[in-house]
Amino acid sequence: MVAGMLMAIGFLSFTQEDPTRAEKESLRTPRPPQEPVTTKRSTMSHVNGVVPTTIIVAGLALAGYALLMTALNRRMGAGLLAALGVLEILLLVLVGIIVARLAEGPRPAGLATLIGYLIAMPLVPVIAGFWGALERSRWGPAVIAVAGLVAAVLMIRLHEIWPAIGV
Amino acid sequence: MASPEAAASRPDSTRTGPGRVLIAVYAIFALSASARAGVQIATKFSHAPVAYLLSAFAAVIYILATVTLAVGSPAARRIAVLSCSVEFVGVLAVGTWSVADPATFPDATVWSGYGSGYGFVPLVLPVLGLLWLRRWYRRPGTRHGLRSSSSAQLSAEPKPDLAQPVDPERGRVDRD
Repeated sequence: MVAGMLMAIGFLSFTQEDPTRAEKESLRTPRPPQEPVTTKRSTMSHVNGVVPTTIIVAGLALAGYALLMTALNRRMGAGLLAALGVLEILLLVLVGIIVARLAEGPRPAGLATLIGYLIAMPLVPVIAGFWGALERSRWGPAVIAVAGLVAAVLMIRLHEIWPAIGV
Repeated sequence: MASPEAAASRPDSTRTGPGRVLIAVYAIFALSASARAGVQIATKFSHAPVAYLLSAFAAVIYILATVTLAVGSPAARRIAVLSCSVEFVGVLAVGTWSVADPATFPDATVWSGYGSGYGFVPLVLPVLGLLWLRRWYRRPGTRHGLRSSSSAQLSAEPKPDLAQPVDPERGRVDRD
């Protein structure tokens, strides 16, 4: 049921995703790049904050759900894997948004670090899923909890690397 | 912990049970510390050489702990104990150093401020690691673990242990 909740959060973020893209298109096509950067940035950072915030909420919810499973002495189940899948999709969406943003031209100071994050971020739920599924005890879900917390922390780090990515 | 199922699924290597979580956290620190140290040393080493070298040292320790905990052989466990101990001493020493002499640390390391930049996880992690290794040592059937017969084993390849099945994974009873 928590997975269902997470799923709902996921879908919510996708529905809010569409205006992002629409606005981005409308901003990109009609204006040359020299147009007022400030307006562009303020609109974007506002919109961009939705996905990272959703990931923080989803990551923390996943961690709570997983720790509950550990406390109840449960093993890894389909529910946890589904919730992990939702987190993975959200992270991939965020990677897409950031790559699109980079393609537009602006560069953060720590570009190398950001690219490292873009590669490492989507791997977190995948590796945690395999590593947790190998464990046939209550500690499997605990591994998933770590992944959820890491995803939330990564969002804050991303914001520090590139403040244009809102939280 | 005390429930029957927990007792039934007792871990049989440092990489199972709670060790699985420990390795996950260690792996994250190994990756983040080494990536961070690599970028810092490559791009702006002169800015804070001491901090960056300590970051790199921390990264090596984290990698060592991750790998040895995951391998879990008697020799690997000894290296794991060593690296967790070095890590704990390192957090305390670098933490104190960074508080006493902030000028040496214009940029933070993993261990500065006792790991405050990482939610004090670097301070707690070696303690949990050592507790886990200690608990594992006390289990029956691992008596060779504590027998510090030869320090040469530290550097040697993990020797096949006659008292244990050749492949612990194969010999393990499926608890499902």
